[in-house]
Amino acid sequence: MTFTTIIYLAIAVMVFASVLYNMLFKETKVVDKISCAMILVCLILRIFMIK
Amino acid sequence: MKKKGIISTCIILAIAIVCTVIAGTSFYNKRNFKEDIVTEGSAVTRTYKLSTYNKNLKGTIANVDIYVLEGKEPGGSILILGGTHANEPAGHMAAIVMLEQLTVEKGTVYVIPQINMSGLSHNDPLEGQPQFIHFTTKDGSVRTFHFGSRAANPIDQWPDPDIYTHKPSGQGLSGSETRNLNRCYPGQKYGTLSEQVAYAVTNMINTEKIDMEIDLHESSPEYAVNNACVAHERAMAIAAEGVLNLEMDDISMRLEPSPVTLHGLTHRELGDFTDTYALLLEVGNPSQGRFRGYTDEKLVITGEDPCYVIAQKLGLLYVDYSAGNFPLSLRVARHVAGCAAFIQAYNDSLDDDARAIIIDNVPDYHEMVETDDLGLYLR
Ligand SMILES: [Zn+2]
Repeated sequence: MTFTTIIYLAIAVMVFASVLYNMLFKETKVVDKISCAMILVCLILRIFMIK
Repeated sequence: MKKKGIISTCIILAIAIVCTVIAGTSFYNKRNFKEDIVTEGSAVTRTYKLSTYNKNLKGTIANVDIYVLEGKEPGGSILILGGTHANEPAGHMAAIVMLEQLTVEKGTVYVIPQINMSGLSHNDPLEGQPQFIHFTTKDGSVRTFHFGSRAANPIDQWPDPDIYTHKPSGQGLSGSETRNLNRCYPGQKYGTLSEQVAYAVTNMINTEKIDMEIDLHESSPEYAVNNACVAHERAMAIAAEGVLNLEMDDISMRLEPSPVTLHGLTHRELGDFTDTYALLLEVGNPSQGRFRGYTDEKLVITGEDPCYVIAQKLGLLYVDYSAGNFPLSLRVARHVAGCAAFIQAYNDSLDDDARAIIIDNVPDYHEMVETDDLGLYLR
């Protein structure tokens, strides 16, 4: 794994944490929570490098 | 958070976890599926790894097998590349059919059917294409092969640059082309995974002094370079004779010169950076074209698509789609017949037969088309 890939993975982890935080504590509308969930699925797969 | 909010969040999160597990398992299984290529009973005399020509490939998914079919007599050599673009199954399957069926009297045939293993290990996003294709062989067993992506898997080389600069030409291409193996030749020893694979192939041809190389592809039926052979200028005479031989056997084939300023492709760079005669074959593939409708394994194998029937009537296609289909058996048969015809043309170009390549047991084109069952040509 290259250094650039590690940096991008770190960014993906930060975005994941932020989206999860928003979903749990910020978003009030159900549609927004669903949007967050859909983003989380893609992010978690990329963090585990599953494609 | 109110109680109602907690419940809805938990439900949504649970559904997301289920989706992740289902998608993750499916992608993981695809990534780790190993095709079994049968050498038992075939004319394959030995196999070895691509990392022989670039040590950096050791331990990566790209360290694929090279299948060698050696004749009783020494002679010339040919390299057949399959699966460069993993969403073009005729190239991948034709290479497998040839390594399992051909016999070699003189010279050496090298076959690499999974040259873009990274591309075979995933699918293009949003294309709705199948992960696998299946064939039933003569003895009734079912064999499974990958249907993959045009590009290498992003988990092998990520992220893509905004603009991909081809080395050594400096040609600029869109960023995602960095994962297109057929834009990475002649390759870089320490480059991206695709560049490392391309380097290994170039190095292999130079090391083994391989006389001819044929890269097997498919293209959308509406794309102009179709049912065609693209040839490097040094290979043009051989290609022209091969095309004539095919035409005499009722197999129509266009002949295209390799564009001099389009870099990274096998027919350009392997011709420029090695002494090999570099050729690339294209055949129409409805499961890859943009006009296609619902895309599943059936479309890949039969090539039957009502949208292409309409496109044919509108005169938009570069293949004869009047039968309403363009089956994989026909596309593989074209590649097999093409390889045999270009080997014959290469032999005819020689002053003496010291470097000749004599192959036998080539599956017959017309028989393959008539039986329309690729499984019969697999072991
Ligand atoms: Zn292709």
